[in-house]
Amino acid sequence: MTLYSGALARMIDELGRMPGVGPKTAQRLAFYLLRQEPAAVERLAKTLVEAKETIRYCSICFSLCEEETCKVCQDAHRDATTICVVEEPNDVFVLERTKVFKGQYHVLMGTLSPLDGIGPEDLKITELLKRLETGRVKEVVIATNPDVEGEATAIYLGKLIKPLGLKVTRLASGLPAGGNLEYADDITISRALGGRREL
Amino acid sequence: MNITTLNTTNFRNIVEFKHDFSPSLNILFGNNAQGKTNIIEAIYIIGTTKSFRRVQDEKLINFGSEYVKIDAKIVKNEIEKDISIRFSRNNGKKILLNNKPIIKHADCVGNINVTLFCPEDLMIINGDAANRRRFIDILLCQTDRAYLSDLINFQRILKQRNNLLKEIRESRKTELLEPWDEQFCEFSCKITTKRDQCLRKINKMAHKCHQKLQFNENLALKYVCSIYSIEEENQADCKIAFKNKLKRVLNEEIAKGFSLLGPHRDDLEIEINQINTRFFGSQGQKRSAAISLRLAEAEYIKAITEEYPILLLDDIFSELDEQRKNDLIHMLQKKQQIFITGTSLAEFAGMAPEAKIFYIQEGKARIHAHTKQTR
Repeated sequence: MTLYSGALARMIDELGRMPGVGPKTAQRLAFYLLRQEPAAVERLAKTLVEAKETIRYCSICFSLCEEETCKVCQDAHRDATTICVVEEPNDVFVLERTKVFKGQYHVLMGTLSPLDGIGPEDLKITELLKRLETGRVKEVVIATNPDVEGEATAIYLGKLIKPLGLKVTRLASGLPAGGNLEYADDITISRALGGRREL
Repeated sequence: MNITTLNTTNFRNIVEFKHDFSPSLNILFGNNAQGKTNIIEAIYIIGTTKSFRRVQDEKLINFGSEYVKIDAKIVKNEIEKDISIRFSRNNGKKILLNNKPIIKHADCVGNINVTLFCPEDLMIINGDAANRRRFIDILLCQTDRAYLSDLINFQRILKQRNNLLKEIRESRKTELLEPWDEQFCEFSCKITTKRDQCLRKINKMAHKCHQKLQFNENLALKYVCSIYSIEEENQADCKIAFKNKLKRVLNEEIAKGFSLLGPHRDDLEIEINQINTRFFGSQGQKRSAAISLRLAEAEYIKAITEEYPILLLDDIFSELDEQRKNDLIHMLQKKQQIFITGTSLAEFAGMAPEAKIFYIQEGKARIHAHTKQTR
């Protein structure tokens, strides 16, 4: 991008580093910001810096919070016998939105992926095992994504946790709720057939 | 299934093409580099959304033009459909089925099936094993949606596993392989089983086709599988057998840093009269074996979809002697729609009365005077 130079080029470059933002969107955002009142841009910059300073990972489950521990971990009404293991902090918000799960969470901060050089020691697995040692937990629900890496991580965790005598479960995969059989793709239907259950 | 009309704009060297086709035999003739294969390619793209030349879509656009358009009317199970594929330098690819855009391009594959015969098919016989795996993989992907997804997953796992093997060679613990091996075995067995089943059917069909074409020579296809010996045949135990085999090669795999067993290492052995064609076949034998494979592919598609695919025979006639040409045409005729290219009309002597003939020159097609008026 030789067209832009100096501060504008740096701005587009920084914005373009964000996920989902390509060079064109980065330019658009840059021009948008330049059109704004100085106060509005300052507010945005301040919000970003503040958020980065105050938001941290929960010391127990590694989801996002502004205190030492997150709201779920602090809540005495949550079921401490069940832990749901997810890949990323945002997965916690996705599951919380459903209001179905009453247990606690544990964020792995990624999945096993030799291609990216990520092994078990790069994930919060030791921390998870420590939580299990307390003896209160009876079930671990593994909610990693149903892709190749998520599946490998689930299998790895299962092999570690099962010998501890705990129940290990995996999220079901199949037809979407409220979906019409007609509109589901072949792979989803064959998965759903494989995971059918008795009425 | 057949294609009744093709209408292209700015497709390679063909600025404008608009013609109806015969539901049986269509002959395209003309000198080299006039655009015969481009018409074959356009029909192939209608069937598969992609070119067989393995090029970016942009290369399909006529030099100096901004976009390319391929419209076709097809008839499948007696129902007429319009397929339109457009590609522009600015807006990318769009596919319309009956004037409605198709979002997932893979959904368009299978509306019409095509089987292409071309001189490069010789690579299936002559080339390395990857060519033969590609042959069977493309066929399975066309006829089995789940296979494509299994294959994509397998390739991802294979990459991860190979990387892990290299890391284990450096420093990591061997136990880390376990979660990958679980899936590696599962997808390997799925792919192997499907390939094996498909090849058993193809084998019978190819054998039959070849006997008619090549004076009773015996053509046989065998899947050479690294997971289990085909004789064992007990696929329920496939996963267990493969896991045990993996254990035996573990140290070698770590030392080499890649996966030594699995569908990515398998091959397809092609024998004529019990002799491996790849190493010992004559040039003519190899050519006719390649043709028999494609014929079997068409028969296989017919068995699965209940309709013959459109046959595209690009430049393969010149390689056959008179007898074989006639035999081949006899086998094909009245079954399905056929497109054949060649450099002179003399090559098609004997079958011309049945056909609609196009003369291709400098990117322009005109109907040849000898064509019998069928409609």
